[in-house]
Amino acid sequence: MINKKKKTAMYIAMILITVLVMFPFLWMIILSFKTNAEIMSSPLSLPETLNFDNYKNAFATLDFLQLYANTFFVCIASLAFELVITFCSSFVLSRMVFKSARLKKMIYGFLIMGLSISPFILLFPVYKISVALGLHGKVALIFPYVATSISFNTLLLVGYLKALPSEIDEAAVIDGCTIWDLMVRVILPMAKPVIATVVIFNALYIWNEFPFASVMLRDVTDYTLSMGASFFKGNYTVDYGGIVASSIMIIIPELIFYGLFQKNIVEGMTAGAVKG
Amino acid sequence: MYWLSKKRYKIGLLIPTLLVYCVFIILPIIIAVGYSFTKYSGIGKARFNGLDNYIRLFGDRFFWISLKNTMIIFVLAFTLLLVLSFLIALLLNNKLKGNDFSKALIFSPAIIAPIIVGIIWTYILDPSVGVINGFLDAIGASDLKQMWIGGDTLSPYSIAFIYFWQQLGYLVTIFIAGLKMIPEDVLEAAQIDGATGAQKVRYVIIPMMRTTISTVAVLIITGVFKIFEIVQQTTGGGPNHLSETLVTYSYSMTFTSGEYGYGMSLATVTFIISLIITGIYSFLTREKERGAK
Amino acid sequence: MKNRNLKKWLSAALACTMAAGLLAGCGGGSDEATTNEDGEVVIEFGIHVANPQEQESVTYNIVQAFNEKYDGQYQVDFRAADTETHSKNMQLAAADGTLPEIFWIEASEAPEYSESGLLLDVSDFLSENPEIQEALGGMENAFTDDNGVYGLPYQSNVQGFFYNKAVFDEAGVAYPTADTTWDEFLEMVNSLKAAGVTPIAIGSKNSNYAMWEFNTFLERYGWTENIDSILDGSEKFNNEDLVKCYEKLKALADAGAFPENIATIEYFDAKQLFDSGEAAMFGSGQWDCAEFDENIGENIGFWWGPKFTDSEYNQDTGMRVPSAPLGVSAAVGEDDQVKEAVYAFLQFYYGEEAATMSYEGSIFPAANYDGLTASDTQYAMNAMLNEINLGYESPASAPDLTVSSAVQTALYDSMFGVMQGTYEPAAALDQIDAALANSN
Repeated sequence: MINKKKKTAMYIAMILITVLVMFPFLWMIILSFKTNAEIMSSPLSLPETLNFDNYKNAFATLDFLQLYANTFFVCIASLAFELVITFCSSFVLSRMVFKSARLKKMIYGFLIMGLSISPFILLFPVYKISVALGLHGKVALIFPYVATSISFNTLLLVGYLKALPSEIDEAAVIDGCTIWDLMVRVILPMAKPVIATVVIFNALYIWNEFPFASVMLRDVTDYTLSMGASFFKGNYTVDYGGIVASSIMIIIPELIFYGLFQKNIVEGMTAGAVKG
Repeated sequence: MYWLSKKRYKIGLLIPTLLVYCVFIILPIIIAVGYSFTKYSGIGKARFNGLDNYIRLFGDRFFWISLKNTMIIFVLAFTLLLVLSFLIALLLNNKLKGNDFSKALIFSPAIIAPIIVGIIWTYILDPSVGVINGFLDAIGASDLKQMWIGGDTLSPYSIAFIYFWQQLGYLVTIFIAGLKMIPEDVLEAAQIDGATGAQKVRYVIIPMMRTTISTVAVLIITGVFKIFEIVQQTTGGGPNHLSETLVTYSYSMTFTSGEYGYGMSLATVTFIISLIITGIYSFLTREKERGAK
Repeated sequence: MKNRNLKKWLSAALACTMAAGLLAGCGGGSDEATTNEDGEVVIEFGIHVANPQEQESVTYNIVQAFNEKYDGQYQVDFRAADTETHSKNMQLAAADGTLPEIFWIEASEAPEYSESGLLLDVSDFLSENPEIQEALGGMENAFTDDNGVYGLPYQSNVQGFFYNKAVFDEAGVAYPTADTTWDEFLEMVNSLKAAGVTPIAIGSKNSNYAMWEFNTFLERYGWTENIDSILDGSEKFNNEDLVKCYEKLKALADAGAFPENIATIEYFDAKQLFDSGEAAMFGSGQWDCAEFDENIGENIGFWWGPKFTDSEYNQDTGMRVPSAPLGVSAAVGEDDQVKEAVYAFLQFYYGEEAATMSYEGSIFPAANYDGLTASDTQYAMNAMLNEINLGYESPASAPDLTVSSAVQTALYDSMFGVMQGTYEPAAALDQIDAALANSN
């Protein structure tokens, strides 16, 4: 039994931490109601009136519908593609028997290595490769996004799949399952939580990704949400109010998305990142 | 499983991933490393210049400054994140009312675009218009005011803290997940044996969460070496490159100074350092695991 | 049997990749058509802001007027991105031959584009249009090399100190005049500081290019006269003249002329300090005129800068200089139809009608025609015109635009280094010499 005092202390700690973490976030919401001049010259003050000009301005400047549609398209296409291929490869690396355990480890290490690469090193070369392959516009974003997700997905998926008891496979084989059945009908349903996690983290990454988007997208009609902020930054002008307001517009769907899948994240992590 | 582990299955299932990975990650790295041996402005033709860039790099004061800053950020963020996210996870793993809500809120910084994170924190840390110094003035503690960002020394510490703030919820989530994996009966057994809270953590929880801890550690290490927008937005690497990290310095050389070749040599060195640290870490933890057996 | 299975797997894997590839192919199919469905020849204009209508409204209006005038014949479309992204994109586009027909180029990068044969020599355009050549008044010389005229100035930049008369009045300090010397200037800074205002608003975060007011300092210490011998190695940046110049920056820093948070504010924030009356002076150029009309109105003043008695160089110099150039992609030369459209656009852009529109938007056009004036309510532009009417000589190019990107970055770093106290003048200049040595 946890005694009362301790419990109170815990509540206080929890509330304190939450408030501290949330503070900058709230600050941003306050900023979004201030005029550009107020933000820059008296950032400490509260907004004089609750004005929605920044939001109006953001809506007038940005075609949110198009931005959401593009981002959504890139997001879905990349996710679908990367899930299929990384699930397959992680299945091999976690559940199949290799004659040489070292080879398996090496492939795994090779795929994980990508975690330490800063994306902007890749910008020029990836652009050149995409051009050489005839990829343009928002579609050209899919491959880089898939590629940069491979390391993270491998880390999570292999960790999770490895933890599933090997008796499952044996039972499946005895029942006469083909490898296809085993993967799709047996393992895949069991991997749902970790897949949810992968989906969430990758969706958030793609939603916010800027470096690749800024290089690959030329046509305004291809722009993704993260490019929105650049509309408020000219060579000689900057509209912080617009940037903040449009950022909030970008964050809201993410928060909703996160709220919906919050339980799955923990569940997926529970097994994914964790048990190896 | 052995029956299904046919070579052709393995190859067939691995190829798509390997193909995409090689074409869009490995090949670009090779190209970038290739450019690091050239003099190239990004326009026109690259000219091979051997090891010149690397020789220059070792004599470049700003390279060492950015290495030092990166290391400060790394050590600070690593310690803070690993320890505090673990403790907060322990806290939130208790049956407390509203802890789901709290978890969601603590996670929320992780979903804000890093550029915005930088903008928000600028208004908190800025020496003249920031919230912190404004608060210190208001309570009459003006002596405590610091150049949190933009001064000669504190910027990397502030950047580490911002990174900590951004990543905290993400890692807490992973740790909570790890804690959920520990079977109830193990903890109950420890309880019956009369273990105190601290003892439970030390002898039961930490050993059982070794994998979680290494996952988190790897994510922190690799993440620190990718910090970019936070620095760009808070100090822009300034004043005069003093708060530059390896990534921002190589970015500024590549895209601002138009020295693509030199920038890529910096990027290559950054990548190697990050690999080495990850390598050392996995080596050390592997030893421990063996010791534990 | 075995083989069939293998094939099945391989083809499944390939299908996976191919499907995505096909998808990609469909989406990206942009055929290089010179005309659109209305039969108009389409030319693209690569511009350095993401939202031209808001952020480069003068250019936007000129383009709209052009499209209207040549409706059914030519059509100019923007390829727009913020400056940093634009520069990156142009480099990438140069590598794969997809440069827009006309594009804004960072001045320090333009010579490299030219040397790489990416830009069209437009000297034939100038000789066909003598009135434009005359209106440019030699500004095109800044963008001329062995390959000919590789660019035309996008606009004409007038740079120096803006000051807020109301702030000066309140502090009881006299306005600067053409004859204000350095010592008087320093005195002025001290008085302003004592009155509790920030004397000069300036910010270095991600914007250490914002040193326009100090171009005049450099120039008055013999920059243009000496730069060639410095670049060819016979002289050094760390020379007696520039050390004296940098000592002035240091003196300003020591006097507290700059905001305390110079390192964490950007040019935009600094401008806001000036707009709101918290700072007395702000270094900038004509692009900010419209903003100052709105915020400061009739209190705005403009000044080239102090005269230095310890310099032997001409002190009667101003800073009316070509801005970054517009370049025409070399590929345009291979298609007569496109070239005709591009030249028609240039003719319009540098013509009198566009120049008038430019003046209305408080922008000095590159091509200047007699009789163009600002209206009475264009306070900032009129303040500039007063200073221009002194008739001072301007260099062919702003000092910071006479060097390559790497040296330019080092120049900016060194100046702000001195202003922020991280460098002594001589050591700062050594940094530029080092950058120059590395770039050769």
